[in-house]
Amino acid sequence: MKNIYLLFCFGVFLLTACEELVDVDAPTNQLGTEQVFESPETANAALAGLYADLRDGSVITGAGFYTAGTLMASYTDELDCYTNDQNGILDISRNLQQETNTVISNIWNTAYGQVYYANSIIYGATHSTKLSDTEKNQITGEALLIRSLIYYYLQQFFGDIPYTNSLDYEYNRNLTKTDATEVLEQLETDVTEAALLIEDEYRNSERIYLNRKAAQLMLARIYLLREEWELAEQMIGTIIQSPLYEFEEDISEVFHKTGQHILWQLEPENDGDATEEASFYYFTDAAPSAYTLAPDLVNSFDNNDLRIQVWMAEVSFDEKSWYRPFKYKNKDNGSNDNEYSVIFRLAEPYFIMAEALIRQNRQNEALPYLNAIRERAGLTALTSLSDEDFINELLAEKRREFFTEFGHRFLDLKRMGHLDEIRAVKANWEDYMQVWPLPQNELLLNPNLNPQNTGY
Amino acid sequence: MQNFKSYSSALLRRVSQILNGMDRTLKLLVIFCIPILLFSGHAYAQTINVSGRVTDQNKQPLPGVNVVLKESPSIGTITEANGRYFLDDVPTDAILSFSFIGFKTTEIPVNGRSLVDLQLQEDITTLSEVTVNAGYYTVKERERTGSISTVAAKEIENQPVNNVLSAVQGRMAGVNITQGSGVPGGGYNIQIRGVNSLRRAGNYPMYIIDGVPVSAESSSSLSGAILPRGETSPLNAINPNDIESIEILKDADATAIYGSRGANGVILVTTKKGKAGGKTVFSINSSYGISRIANKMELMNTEQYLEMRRQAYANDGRTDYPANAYDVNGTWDESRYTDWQEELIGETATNSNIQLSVNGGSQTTRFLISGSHNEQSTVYGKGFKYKTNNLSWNLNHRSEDNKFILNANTLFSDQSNNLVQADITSKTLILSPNAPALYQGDGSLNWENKTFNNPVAAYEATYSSKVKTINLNMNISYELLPAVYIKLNGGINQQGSEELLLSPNTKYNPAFGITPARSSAYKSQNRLFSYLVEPQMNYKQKYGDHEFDLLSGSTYQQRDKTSLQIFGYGFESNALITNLEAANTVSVQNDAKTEYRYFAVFGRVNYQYKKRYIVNLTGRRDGSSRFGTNNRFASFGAVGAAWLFSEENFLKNSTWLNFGKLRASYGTTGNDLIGDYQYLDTYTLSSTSYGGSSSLYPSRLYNPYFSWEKTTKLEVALETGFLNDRMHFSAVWYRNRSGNQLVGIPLPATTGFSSIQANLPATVENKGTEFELNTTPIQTKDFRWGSDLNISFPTNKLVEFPGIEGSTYANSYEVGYPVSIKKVYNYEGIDPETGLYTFTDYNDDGSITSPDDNQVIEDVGIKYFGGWSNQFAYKRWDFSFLFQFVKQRQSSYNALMLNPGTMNNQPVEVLDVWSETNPDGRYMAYTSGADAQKNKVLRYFKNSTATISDASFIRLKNVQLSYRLPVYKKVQDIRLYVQGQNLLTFTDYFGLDPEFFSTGFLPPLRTWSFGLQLNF
Repeated sequence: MKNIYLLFCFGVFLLTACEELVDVDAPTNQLGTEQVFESPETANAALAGLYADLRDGSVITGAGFYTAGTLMASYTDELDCYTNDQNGILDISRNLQQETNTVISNIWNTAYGQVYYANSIIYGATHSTKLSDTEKNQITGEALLIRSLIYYYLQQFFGDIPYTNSLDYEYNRNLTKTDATEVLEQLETDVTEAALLIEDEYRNSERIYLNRKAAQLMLARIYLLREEWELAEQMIGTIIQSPLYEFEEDISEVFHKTGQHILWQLEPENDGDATEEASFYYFTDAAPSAYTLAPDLVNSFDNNDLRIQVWMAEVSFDEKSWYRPFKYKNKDNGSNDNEYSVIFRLAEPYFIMAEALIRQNRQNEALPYLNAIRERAGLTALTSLSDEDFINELLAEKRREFFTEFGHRFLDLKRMGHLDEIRAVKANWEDYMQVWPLPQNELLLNPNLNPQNTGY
Repeated sequence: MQNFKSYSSALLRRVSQILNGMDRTLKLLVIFCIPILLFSGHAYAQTINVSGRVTDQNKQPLPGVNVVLKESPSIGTITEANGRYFLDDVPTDAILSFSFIGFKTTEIPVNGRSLVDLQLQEDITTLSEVTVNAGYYTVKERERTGSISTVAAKEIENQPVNNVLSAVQGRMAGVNITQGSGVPGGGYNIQIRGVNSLRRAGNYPMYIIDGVPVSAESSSSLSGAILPRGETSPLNAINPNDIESIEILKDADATAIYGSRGANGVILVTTKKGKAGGKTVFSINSSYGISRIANKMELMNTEQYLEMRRQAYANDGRTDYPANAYDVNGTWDESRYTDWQEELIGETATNSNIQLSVNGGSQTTRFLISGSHNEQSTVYGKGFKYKTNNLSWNLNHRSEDNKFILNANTLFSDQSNNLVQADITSKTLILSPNAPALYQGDGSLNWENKTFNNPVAAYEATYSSKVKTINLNMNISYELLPAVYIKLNGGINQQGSEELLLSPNTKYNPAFGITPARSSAYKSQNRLFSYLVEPQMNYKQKYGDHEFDLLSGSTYQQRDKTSLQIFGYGFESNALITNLEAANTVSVQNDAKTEYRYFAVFGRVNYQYKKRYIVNLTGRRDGSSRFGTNNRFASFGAVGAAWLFSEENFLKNSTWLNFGKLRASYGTTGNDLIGDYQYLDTYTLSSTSYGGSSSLYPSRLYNPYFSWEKTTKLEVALETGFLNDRMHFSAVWYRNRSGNQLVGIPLPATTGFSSIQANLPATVENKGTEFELNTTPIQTKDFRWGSDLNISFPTNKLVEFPGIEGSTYANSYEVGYPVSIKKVYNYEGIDPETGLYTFTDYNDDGSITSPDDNQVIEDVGIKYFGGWSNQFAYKRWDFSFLFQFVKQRQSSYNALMLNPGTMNNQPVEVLDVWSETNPDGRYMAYTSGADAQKNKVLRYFKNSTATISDASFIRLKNVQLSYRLPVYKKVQDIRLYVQGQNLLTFTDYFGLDPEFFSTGFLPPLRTWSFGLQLNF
């Protein structure tokens, strides 16, 4: 009996298990969310991560298979695609995109991931008890502007889209689509707020963070979409008149990081790293296997246009020749000492101004803006022409100026209702393609997003 | 006098044993007689010295046989290497008991002889003697209440495999093992009674090597493109020849004592121990093997291929071939033909193995030291190699009085693997057969004027790993009080791995003008340190017909893992690529330390009545650091019972039935395989930076409330032995239900993440039957034939899933169906009007869309599987073979196929193409990829019923032939053997091989090996 008693004692001893035994230290590579927003350093590190994400894998990354710059250029009439794969890249170039297209779902998924990221920063900063009001405003404002930029592209690519500023997954998983016009209204509110929160003055002399003027440019884009020409004119006015900016007259200096015409650019990760724009399009001494500039685009340049020599490179092989984008020159990591990825540059406010003015039948005021771009490219200034011709000239000039940059071509054609013009070079083009299909998985995971966009 | 005492006490015990078995009158009589017996014991206690030689049926000496006095088992010895034994002072009327694992225990009266030779009979089953390792305790096979499958060394020795899991495929009922790849050093998919968890990572079994749990999760982080799922197996670190036995615990009775980690079954690996033979035995075992791909797909030849390509352009209405259609536009030689499977994965891989070991010791202390080296090349050639070194030693000691027992093991392994970075097997199936030569005349890579993406360039990019593992285990037991044992099981498991993923610029076509400034290298280091302490107490007592066996104990385990991954980019020269100091840009991708703490108390109560009725209660209370503070602890338990009906009087003397048992068990187990820290709300430090600032990103959606997955297991089994153990049959029925599913619930991207960790109120049921039949149809003096068959019929069903309709799983699962289903479009054939594939438009909306039209539920799982093995022993010859069979459905090559007509080769089946003149054609007319309609329907086709087909197979898994040479002088044993692995496969499967868990990887190889084993 004694034995059993002993055994019993032993058991009781063991059963008094201490909770502490299963306590663990926090992982060394993670920081509690509240802690992140207790100091400006860590809070800004969270924001830095969002900027890095924009630079490395977002719709506004300079170039790549999942970026507006490359995809939309091949979707419309700027790039020809030579990839020999069977995934969605080629289908987008051929306008054969379906709801199962993995490139489209990739764009959607990363964009909403960044929306959450921004929302998380906004929530963390606004609820922080340790950050000063200045710090809060700067962090919240920049995150808000980034989120708006992402939403802007999502809305333009997909039409009606789910809009959320919540972190609650139970709510976010059941979102319904918000009407496109409502999304734009919401974006106007958000960007206006961001413009109030952040300053004109750059946080960094290299203009790698967003400032108020960038927000105002975003607002102008939204006003164009809503055909509020006067408001657009007004917004752009503040940018053009700002002493911060100066029009760059030298075509070969446009993508140099020190330019006073730059509103916002993204800095590569390491000193000397090449931009995506420089390395992605590069090929030499061979037939193309990724992208080349579409012959139709190349032919649209006047022979005297400086941009042919400065922003394009010819590749010849086997008695054939192609052109590749060459706006950025330093393709090798380590050798890039003067190029950052320029997201917003003064040429865009010029075009917006010209567009806003011509819509108000003020061609005389609009012409100088268009001519500034033309003259920089070594072309003659335009003189008086019909408003319709002006619009066409503006569109064509913007194509030549912004080719392979952030989907400008698609956004412009769409806004002005000229998308069907690309049918001349895009045999498969149909009207419904002005929006992409929502990713199939997304509809399966959240049936509230039904119906699918028309046509798909 | 000492001798007399022990003899008389043994006698007393014997008497009381006899008494127990008698009725009352007889007892009285016997008690009356005791003094006489005692006296007579004294009177006849004359002693002599006895010696003799013990051999097996083949008259081979048997070292290590236990020879004891039956009356007094503490007196005895062990046979030496030559089978001889010597026993002094043996009473002339003593009975000697000879016992040895695998042989029938034999008792021989001395009858005053001084020479007692014996030929031991091999015992196939010896149910009464065999004990089974159940982890925390051992149990006699006949008294076991749980479900435990065992494979012993004999069946797995000398097989030409790197991992023991390859050797046990098909040998155990209810255990389905799939090898991931034919590349050495990879992982396996093991399902012990099916898939319990809806998470893939939640289905790993628990591995315990010599009492120390090892992590089932692979620490490899860079091998994803060459090893399926980037997984390795924890058992890669053990030489299969060092393994004594593998036990797999399946039901609640066996696994509940492992609590929160037992739901997916437990794999116990026991390594070999020293055998006392008086003499020290040295062994050498060496083998050499060659392997080749087991099967090739029959692909189009150049003529057929070019015809397909031209037809494709013709169908698309194109007469001029595009500039990059090098295969047909005249750029490439149209008369070339290369069998790319032969060229790229057709090398003969070699496998050489050498093992040296020494074992010996005395009766109280034994040791074993073993070292081995293995080298295996790949079918890619190019010097890619997998090398392992294993060193292990074992020491066990028992005190003279048997009260103290110590057992210490050390297993050290050093694996180094050097492989191509990405498997090119699937590439060999699609390369144009008229693609140019791989090399130029001078041996350099041929890029054919930059028109050819030379596949060999892929070999420039390599993956290599070095893994060092140490597993230390110490097990101490002491009999504190009579029948009360205190034990301590402790162990340390340390694993260090270093991986290197090199991508020099030479892997790219020089057309891109890429210089070493774009060469890159990843380096990853993982360190894992785990220790375990398990104090235990055991109490065994017998009161008449009642027998108790009580066990209680606790477990504390700590596991710390550090990982570091560094990326280097841009080198001056590729000669410096392995040193990240030389990189222009270096970034730390990951630097993490994670901790895991685990604490538990457990117990077992085993009660037997008359050795006929057995009840076994087990339980465990677990705490794990993987859960939020409110959900850290949980309890698990099981009850098992057995009835040995063959012991009942009405069957006891049956001539045909010598063993019969009914057993049942019921209980719960859990699953905590969800990774560490998942309950925290954090930001994670990222490897990227911006503007000189390091960056932080949100780690996950926050949910601290999830808890354990629980699996409730029920089992009923019948075990029988017939005709003097010549035939054994067992049948098992089980039903496991896993609820409270802990899953990353897929979320729409609008939540910011693809999933959230949470418990889902769903239940997965695994139900099935398993049958095993072990027979010895022939057993004569010189010839023995043993034949074993096992077959398992698993079924899997999602029984419950409240709210599935609105849930995110609606497209992947269906209540009432297995979790392995695929929902696909119903393929109807080719429309004679349009020549396009057609599918059933279930919702009649005129177009094929998901989820309304992909409604056909196809089960891509296993219907039944098993193995049939036969062993023949004739004099000095041993021959055995094993057939493995699996009845299953799987995705066929149709699901992987690229659009026929594009610049990709196709299987010859694709020649059967539809046209107006061939209306029964199997495939749609070719297209070069320009036909949007065809591209679209092909996509549906690849996700339709046309891609799911029978993938059943019967495989001649293993053949062994060995011959034992007549011994010569000091050499005790020489054995020559030939082994074959995966020799034949019978299947109708359309694809490279029906055994896979992730498509596109090299299938398991066919191997022949020859070897020599020498003991002296």
